[in-house]
Amino acid sequence: MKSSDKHTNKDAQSFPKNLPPDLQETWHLFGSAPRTPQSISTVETEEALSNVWGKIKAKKKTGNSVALKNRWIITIAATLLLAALTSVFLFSEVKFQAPSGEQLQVVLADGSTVLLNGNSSLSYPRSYGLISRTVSINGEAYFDVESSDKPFIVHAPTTRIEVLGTKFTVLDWKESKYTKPNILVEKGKVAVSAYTDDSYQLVKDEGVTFDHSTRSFYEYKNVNQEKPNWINGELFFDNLSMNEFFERLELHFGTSIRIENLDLDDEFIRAYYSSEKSIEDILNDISVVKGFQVKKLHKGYMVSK
Amino acid sequence: MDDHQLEALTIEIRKSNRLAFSNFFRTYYAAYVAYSQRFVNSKDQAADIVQEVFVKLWEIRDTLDPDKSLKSLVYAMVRNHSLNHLRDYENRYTDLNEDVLTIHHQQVSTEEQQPDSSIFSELIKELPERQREAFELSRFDGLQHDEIAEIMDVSPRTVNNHIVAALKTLRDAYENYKQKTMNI
Repeated sequence: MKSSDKHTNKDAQSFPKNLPPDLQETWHLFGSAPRTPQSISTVETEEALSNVWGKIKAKKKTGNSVALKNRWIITIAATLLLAALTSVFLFSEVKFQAPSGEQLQVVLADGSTVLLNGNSSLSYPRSYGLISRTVSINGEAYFDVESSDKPFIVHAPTTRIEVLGTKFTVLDWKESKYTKPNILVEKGKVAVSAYTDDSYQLVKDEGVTFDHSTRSFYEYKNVNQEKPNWINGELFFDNLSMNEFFERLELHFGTSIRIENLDLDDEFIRAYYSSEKSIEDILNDISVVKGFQVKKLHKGYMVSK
Repeated sequence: MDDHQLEALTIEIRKSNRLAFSNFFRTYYAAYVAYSQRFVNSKDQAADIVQEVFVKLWEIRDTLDPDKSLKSLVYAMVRNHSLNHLRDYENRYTDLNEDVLTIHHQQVSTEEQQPDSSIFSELIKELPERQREAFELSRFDGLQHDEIAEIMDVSPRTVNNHIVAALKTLRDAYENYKQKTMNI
């Protein structure tokens, strides 16, 4: 289809077969013409490449609001369409899933918004808002709920959260082994339970994690009073156990990471990325820092000694 | 990098695979800078232009067609950016260009006794612009006629005509040159 690459040796350039043969001699003769020296070193190339990535990131920052606006328009349009269809499909479900490693914003019929982190999903009945406001999630999500007399209820795999109008973050994966469910309130008042009668009342900057082994909640205070980093497209893992770290990467990117011959029980990590990164980049970084080997498998990755 | 690899790479870049993009960059960056230098005469300018092109390429990655040569597409982008740059800073560079040319001519006349290979570059420089461009892409970048056609936005047949004409001109010019040096 296309030519192969022969930049390295210009003398190897063969005479194009569709040219008249009597020009062959001239073709070869002029091949010895001195060229502009291609004095570009590997270092220069790498510098240029990081320059390019820098410019791409800088552009992305300024373009972000536009992208978000588009996302709003799309989600609003989707919601309007859903509203029209509600009468027909009252009891069927709507489901959204964020692409792996990226975020997705969903605007609900009442104007409440849900920002889903990588690979996380949200579903709700098409009748949302008519009688009740109940949604289900799996994964990580940031909620900004409009006030209403109808309570807003989140069904997460292990936890149930009930609010009137507020902003809060939920982390609760069905598939998790190491990642503990976590609910953090930014504004308003929230009631959290593990689908039992016991519920925790949380207000601004209060959070709970849920421990599966003891089946109980542990309260904590968000002293920094900051929003979760992932909302801005950042990745931040604050002193996670390596086991949880790898699990979070698996969940976030929708891939699988096999741990081979590694005892991770006492290993912890703190990692921060200011912008979205590919799973390869992250794994390569970690392997350098921790001295692991990373291999790409047919499906997913393998980390070993 | 062969066509098959390039096609696979295009598919990966479409999927926002940064590694694939970086690999493509590493393979062709030097060649594109050299190509851009044919228009803008300065390595720094050429490097800037090529980097801009790659930023642009990442922005339009979802529109890439794996059935079309990514290599040619980027050649064409580098060409356009280089020509735009020339258009915007035209005066500065035509001046420079003429200086360089006259210096070279002087050198040729003083060193006529030993016909070194720089005469080939001189004669190539004197080709009509389009002929020269098609010839250089074919001879020095190793591109096929259909790839050059995509880059120069003409038919492969026209590319062939340009190259044939270029070679004929070069052959006659070189005969002429040999004749002259022998008569002295």
